[in-house]
Amino acid sequence: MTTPVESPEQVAALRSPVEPPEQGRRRRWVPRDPRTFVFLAVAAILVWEIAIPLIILLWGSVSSARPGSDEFFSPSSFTLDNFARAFDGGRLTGVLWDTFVFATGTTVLAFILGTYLAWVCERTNTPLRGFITLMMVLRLILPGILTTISWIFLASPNIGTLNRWLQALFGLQEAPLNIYSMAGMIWVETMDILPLVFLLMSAALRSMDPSLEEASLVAGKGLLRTTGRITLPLIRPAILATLILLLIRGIETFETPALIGIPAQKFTFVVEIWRQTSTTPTDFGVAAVFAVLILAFCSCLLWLYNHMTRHADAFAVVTGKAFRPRRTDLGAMKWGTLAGSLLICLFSLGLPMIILVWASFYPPSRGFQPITADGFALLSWDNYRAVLDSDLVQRAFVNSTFLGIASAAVVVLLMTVVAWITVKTSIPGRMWLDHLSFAPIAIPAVAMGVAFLWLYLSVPIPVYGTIWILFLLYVARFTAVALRIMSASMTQVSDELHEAAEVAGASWWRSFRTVTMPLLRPGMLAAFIFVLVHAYRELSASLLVYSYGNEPIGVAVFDIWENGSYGLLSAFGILVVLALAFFSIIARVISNRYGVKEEQ
Amino acid sequence: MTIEVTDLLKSFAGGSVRAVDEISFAVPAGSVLTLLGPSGCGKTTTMRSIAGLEKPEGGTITVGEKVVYSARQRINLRPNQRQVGMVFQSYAIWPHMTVFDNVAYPLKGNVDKATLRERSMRVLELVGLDHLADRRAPNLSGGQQQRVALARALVGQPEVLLLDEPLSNLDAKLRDQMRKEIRELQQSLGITTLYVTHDQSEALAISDYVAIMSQGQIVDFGEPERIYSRPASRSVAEFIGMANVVDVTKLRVVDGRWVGESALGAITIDHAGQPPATCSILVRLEDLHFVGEDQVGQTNVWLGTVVSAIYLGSFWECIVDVNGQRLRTHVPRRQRPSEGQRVHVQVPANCCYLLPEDDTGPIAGTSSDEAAVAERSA
Repeated sequence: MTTPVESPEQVAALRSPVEPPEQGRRRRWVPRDPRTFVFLAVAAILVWEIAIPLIILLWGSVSSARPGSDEFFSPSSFTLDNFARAFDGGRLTGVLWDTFVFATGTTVLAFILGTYLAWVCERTNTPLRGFITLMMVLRLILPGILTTISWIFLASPNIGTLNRWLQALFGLQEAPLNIYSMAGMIWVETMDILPLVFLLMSAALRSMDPSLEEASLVAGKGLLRTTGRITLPLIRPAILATLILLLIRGIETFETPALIGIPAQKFTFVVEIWRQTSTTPTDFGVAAVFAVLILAFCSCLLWLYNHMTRHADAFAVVTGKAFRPRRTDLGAMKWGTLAGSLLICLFSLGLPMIILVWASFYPPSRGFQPITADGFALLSWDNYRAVLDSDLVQRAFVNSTFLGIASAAVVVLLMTVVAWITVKTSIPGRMWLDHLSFAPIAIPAVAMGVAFLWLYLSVPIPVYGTIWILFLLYVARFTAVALRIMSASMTQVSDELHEAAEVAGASWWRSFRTVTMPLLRPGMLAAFIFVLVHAYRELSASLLVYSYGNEPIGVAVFDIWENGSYGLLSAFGILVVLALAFFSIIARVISNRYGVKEEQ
Repeated sequence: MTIEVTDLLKSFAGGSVRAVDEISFAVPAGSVLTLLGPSGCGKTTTMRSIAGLEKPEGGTITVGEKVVYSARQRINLRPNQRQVGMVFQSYAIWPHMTVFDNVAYPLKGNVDKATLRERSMRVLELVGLDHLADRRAPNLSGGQQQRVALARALVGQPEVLLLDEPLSNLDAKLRDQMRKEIRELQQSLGITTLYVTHDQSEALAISDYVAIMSQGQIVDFGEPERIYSRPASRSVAEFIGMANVVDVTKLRVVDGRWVGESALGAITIDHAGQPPATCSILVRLEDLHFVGEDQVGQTNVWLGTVVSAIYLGSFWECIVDVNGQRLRTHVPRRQRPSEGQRVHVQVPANCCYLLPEDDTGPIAGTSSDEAAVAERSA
């Protein structure tokens, strides 16, 4: 934790930018204050973890040398060849087009469906609103790769259960659904991202003061004009911000483009980066170029997002005040909206879970088969036995648990210190720590993976080929959200609480230990669980830097998928979902008990 | 135990704004001194300097015999070495502890368990919260939190008690009640108390002495009654309560009293000595009366028109226009003044207080207000 500072002079010196006027004191202050060391140490770690990999990535995109070769750090290796190769032969055009269609298609569809659900749950009197909300929250647990796989089970032309059912129902010769298409990709990604839209739009709708709408109604405007003139303009910033976040997610997502896009011959940027580093002939230069391009694009979008959300403050729609939203009485129509919502929940969570459970019990000897009445007799625990026996699965659980706990501990500790420095002190340069820690939110996971790959192939630090490269990568990946949680809880601990302890006779350190720390603990736990859950789900960045023996869960799932052991895979997936559900329940209990807002 | 503050200096924003500008005062043992002033006048900064939460740049602070801060001797004791009890404006009740744990905190590690329990319970009894000892602190009402804060400040048997706007977060009714309780508690314990507030009536009600602060300086200091009836300046008079100020010219002595001209007409002032050519006098609202027709011609009776009358429950607040000069007054409930009514008003000659000529300037905060808040929350 932070180093104790014993005297109030030091506290005062940190609090006010004005140093004491005495010359002698001033000269001694800088090296003596333990906080300066803490600050410098944290800054050094963050620079190494976040700034250096990006610099190496940028250099890699314009260097002719392969990572790890001697010429890499020599300025003479500068070249624009990588860019030339990347832009050559129309390859980029195809990738750009596919990425664009995929990302915008997902954004539009997910936005419509998610906003519909949010509207139903927040602003109408549709029955079972609580249940629909619960489904969406539970949906957050299902990792992206399992969503993708389950939809392949459901709608693949050969083995898709939905296809079989529809064929039988309508007597069709051909399978009506083909998941291996752009439409299939967009559909699956939409199902995966739906809860995010739902939560963002629910928050926007919920936090709007209903008296603003009521004022319009009282002024004699109808419901339609009120919606058009008041409601929509008020939540427009939230809408734009949500759309931008969706676009970023659509660009940087890996699971659907890899598992469905590649067989469908639709290649997005992220998949292209992975292919350049993992399939021979590898081309690290082109991978770096693609990573830089996607990074630049996502940074622009994030800048736009920040711009939008800042604008949202000006509207003051989100005041943190609890309003009782105005619910529209839909009359008999509410059964229609209920049916629509349940159908979406079925597609997003119900069917994927059902098919995964089915596949996990279907005997491995028979390969995967669609759900049929006859099949039920064959179900067995064989897959679960196999999973528990599998070296890879055991290893993956151990690896991910270690990575999750270790990176969560380090990230939470680091971000607590950063939050403390930025919120409670006025050390010059403290905002740079904040910016640096927040930067990874704009870095697509794959770009980060490529950057770490380049970095640790190039510098003589022997972490490549060990689990430690994954550890370093995870720490860098999860700083941003952890910082947001910690800053929020640090702000909640008012200075007066700490001062009251000092006046009550406690030393600075005892006051920190007995008052500040316990009040920060719920925030630290929430951040810890957040990192742990996301470490369990992480795939795309890990895929670039893992090595045999160090596979985390995401990579293991991907591996088993490539080998075609679908039953084993499904049983594994169910276990992962159970583990994640367990963590999420703990997080919810903590946040309910201490009133800490959970950040998604 | 007395508190003595000498030439205390504290500035913000790189020394450009003097939040506390070399002020000196003393709180006599066993009495209550209130620092009264608008926000940003330096009163809270002064109190925080005494507690050791703010490091001043100059001066001396003594609590009892102990020098807790001295710029010259380079003494600056930590807050935990000063043995003061303090109630914060937000109460700063630790939300992760029970009421008992909050109150017992200052004793932990200093006394044995039995003593700790006994003393904490006794002080909880004192503030009437012994039945809530095991309740979690966030589940308390505002008034209860206030009492916990008070109990916590008193449990360590501090030499002095510092109260930083302790009533500002309570509603009006509770405020009056707590004000009384705090005063009674202070009297029974005989503890030297420094009180900070921006509320005039609160200051007058609770204090033995009041120091009025403006822009980092003390502009008036004295007992409440003196401050109210004979303020040091026109600004203090206006700050401390609603006041009528009348400019008087052509002063001369008639029958041992001063008589002069004012917008109201001829005015008589009970004052000895040689008058200046002109002066300003202060007439408090409650010293201005409506009188009957029969009083016309008496000293200081003028005819005016009621221009506004607002019913405030126990009295009417009226503004009366007398020859263009507006006078505020409180009229008893039964008199039922109405707007436009012609009335005779009288000011007893012994209720005209001669304001000193030098003015202290408007009672105000410095721009350091924002600077101090920003710095503290930074």
